[in-house]
Amino acid sequence: MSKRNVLKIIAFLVGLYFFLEYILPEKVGGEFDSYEVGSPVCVEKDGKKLQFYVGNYYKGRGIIGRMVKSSGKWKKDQKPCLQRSLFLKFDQYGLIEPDVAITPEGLTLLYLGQNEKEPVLCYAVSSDDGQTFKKKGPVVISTNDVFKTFENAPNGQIPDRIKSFAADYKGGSWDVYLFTMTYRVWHAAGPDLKHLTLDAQPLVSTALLEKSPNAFDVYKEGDAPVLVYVMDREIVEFRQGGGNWTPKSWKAPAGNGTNDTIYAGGRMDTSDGTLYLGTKKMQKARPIDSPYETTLCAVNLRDKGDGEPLAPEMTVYKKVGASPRPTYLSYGTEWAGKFLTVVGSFAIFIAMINLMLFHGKKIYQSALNYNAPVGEEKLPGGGAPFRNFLKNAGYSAVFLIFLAVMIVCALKGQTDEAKGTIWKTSFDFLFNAIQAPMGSAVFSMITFYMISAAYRSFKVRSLEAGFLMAAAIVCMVGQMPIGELLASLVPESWKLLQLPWLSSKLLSVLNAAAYRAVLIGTLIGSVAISLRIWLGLDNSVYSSVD
Amino acid sequence: MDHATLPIIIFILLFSGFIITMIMLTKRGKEVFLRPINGLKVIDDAIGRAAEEDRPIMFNLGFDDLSVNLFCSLAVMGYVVRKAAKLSMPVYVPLAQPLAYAMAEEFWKDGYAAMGKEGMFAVEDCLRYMSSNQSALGAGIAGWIKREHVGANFMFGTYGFESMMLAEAGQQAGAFQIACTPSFYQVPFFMVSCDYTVFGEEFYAAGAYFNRDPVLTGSLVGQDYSKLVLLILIVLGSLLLTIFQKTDYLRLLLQW
Repeated sequence: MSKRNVLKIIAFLVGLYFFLEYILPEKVGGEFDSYEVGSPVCVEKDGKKLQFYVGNYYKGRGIIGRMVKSSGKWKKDQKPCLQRSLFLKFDQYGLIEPDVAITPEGLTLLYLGQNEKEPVLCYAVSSDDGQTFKKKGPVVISTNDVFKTFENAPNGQIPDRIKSFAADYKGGSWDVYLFTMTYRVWHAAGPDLKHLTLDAQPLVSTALLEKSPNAFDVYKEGDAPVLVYVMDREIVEFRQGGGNWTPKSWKAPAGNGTNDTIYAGGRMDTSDGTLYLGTKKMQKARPIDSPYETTLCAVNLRDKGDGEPLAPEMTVYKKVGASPRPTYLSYGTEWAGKFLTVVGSFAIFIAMINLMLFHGKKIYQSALNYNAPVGEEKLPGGGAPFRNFLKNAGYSAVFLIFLAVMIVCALKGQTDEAKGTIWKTSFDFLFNAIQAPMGSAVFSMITFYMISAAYRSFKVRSLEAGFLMAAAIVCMVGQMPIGELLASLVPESWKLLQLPWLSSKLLSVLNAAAYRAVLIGTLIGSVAISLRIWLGLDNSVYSSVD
Repeated sequence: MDHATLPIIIFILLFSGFIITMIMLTKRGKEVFLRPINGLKVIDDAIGRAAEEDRPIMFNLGFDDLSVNLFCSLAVMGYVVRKAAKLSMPVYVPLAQPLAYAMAEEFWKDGYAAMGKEGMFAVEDCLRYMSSNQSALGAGIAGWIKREHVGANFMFGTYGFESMMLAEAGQQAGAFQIACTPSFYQVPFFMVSCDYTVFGEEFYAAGAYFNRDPVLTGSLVGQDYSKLVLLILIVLGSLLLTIFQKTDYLRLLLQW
């Protein structure tokens, strides 16, 4: 078999591997919460305690898992009960922040669906104690038309972006509290999750805490809502009285997970007042992109008295995170990545030695010829030693000097102890005062190139060139302050004469349409050539192998 | 790594089907028409002009690392090197990626060897790894173009802001310039400074243009059919969505 065919077969197999990894469904096996766990929520149904939590099998990809308490111990289901949907847009990127309620239909689980736009509050219903759920789509607030608001996000019309929420079902009515990115809390209520009505004013209109809480929940004392905020290791309850929200806080006791940073969860099991929390163990020296140790734990809030420590907590489930792997085939991808990193590191090392040898040799040869007598032209212009040396080995000398300086400064100046030393200062100086300004200087030269090119090209020689010129003028003037000024002189209804409007339409409609057309062509072209290379049909790639 | 959704899998299989079918048909002798692309037709003229003026040729491979774009550019570079070798002319190749250097070196040597001119020019003089820093790359190549007074400057591949520097340096040196790029945002800069600019999907057609290999021409026709399907879907989708605005199920399907 020829060398070329062997290469084609290897390329095909490697391509097949990556192709399969791309098209196979995620998580063909393994634990669905292998990366980390968080956001627990608990409910008691028919005397059975059930806990739902977010398990990530991949960084940021949430799946809902279930645990059942039997003989005093929590037991995890092997399969997840609710996964992200590849075909619906609401929760394409994962599910976060679940909350659960007992309803006539069985169990209703609400969650925030992550997608390419705003997070959407969705829900799913289970009739088998949460072993499986049936998705019901987004919760509809203040509208009966699912598709009335932007795209597929009917609760996107909340006047803010939803960060967290809490839901409660009692007496045939839903109460949903939405915590938004601006720290406000909105209340919506209604008979079912497709017909909720948002209150005209937010329940909480200003930030109750200076920072955004890591976890949020609401439970009711009688008819009055109590807001539970969890920050780091502090649990704060807010009760309304006289128009103000009064805080009351506790420190979560140390041990069994709660001495770690609380990062997600914070849902109350209202039957016994236990607050379930997701915590994260912060490690000082943690490899980049490696997961944290995460824990689900529980703190009993009802047993507290003022100023007294909280009741002993328990660890429900602990996960020492594994590397993120969406499918079995990802093991290979991860291995290939590591292999490339190692080979790349060696290649850089070898390249540096090679560079030093190459330039060192050049300097050495030029030095040998330094005193070449006049007339004996071993090098061009022999007889002018220093000039010759500079001409032949000047760049090499500068390169080697700076290479040595940078290596020494980087090695000595990049440690924690090096702050304020000459090495650190020199390293920063070389970067910030030499490399960065030189880069900016080169970049700024483009302005002059653009002006000279524009001056040369923008000449109206034909009808097409005339159109180009007109479009250029509209776009330029439309984006300048004078464009705004001119537009203010034109009546509002005469849009076509308003240059900023015209300019934005030219760019966002005409230009965008052309751009998309080109993009479609380019992408199909790249699919075609990838296919040719993968299947070994394109010989031009292997032309140098025979 | 993100994973394919069902519509993506369907489209991948559909487009692949079109392309493979058309390749098979052209291999069996089906005649296909390739529309003329001026920018690629004049490559021979650019080389000829540089030879007449006894000025070297420069072939830029852009910022591409080992990718399909690089292979496309290399296919054209191979053609240019063979033509230049026939006329005993040097082809300078500045590079921005270390891995691309190794590939380009093979293609460059192969081109000269094919014409029996191996060893005529030193590899280290003609192929230079410049830098993967855009500013340094732009400044380095612009200097090289001006010092060597390049007669024909080819810019194939992906570019960033350095495109303007390269094209203007070539323009100032009076070089015959042809740019061919999938980088949409650099097209205006190439347009105003180069003699010919090829962009978008035609970049991927460049390899097929020089040798009417049935595989390449067949794949081009397959691409056209894929685009036709997409065009029909876009028009149909727009119309249906406009007509049946109130029908939720249809909207769901179309939005999916």
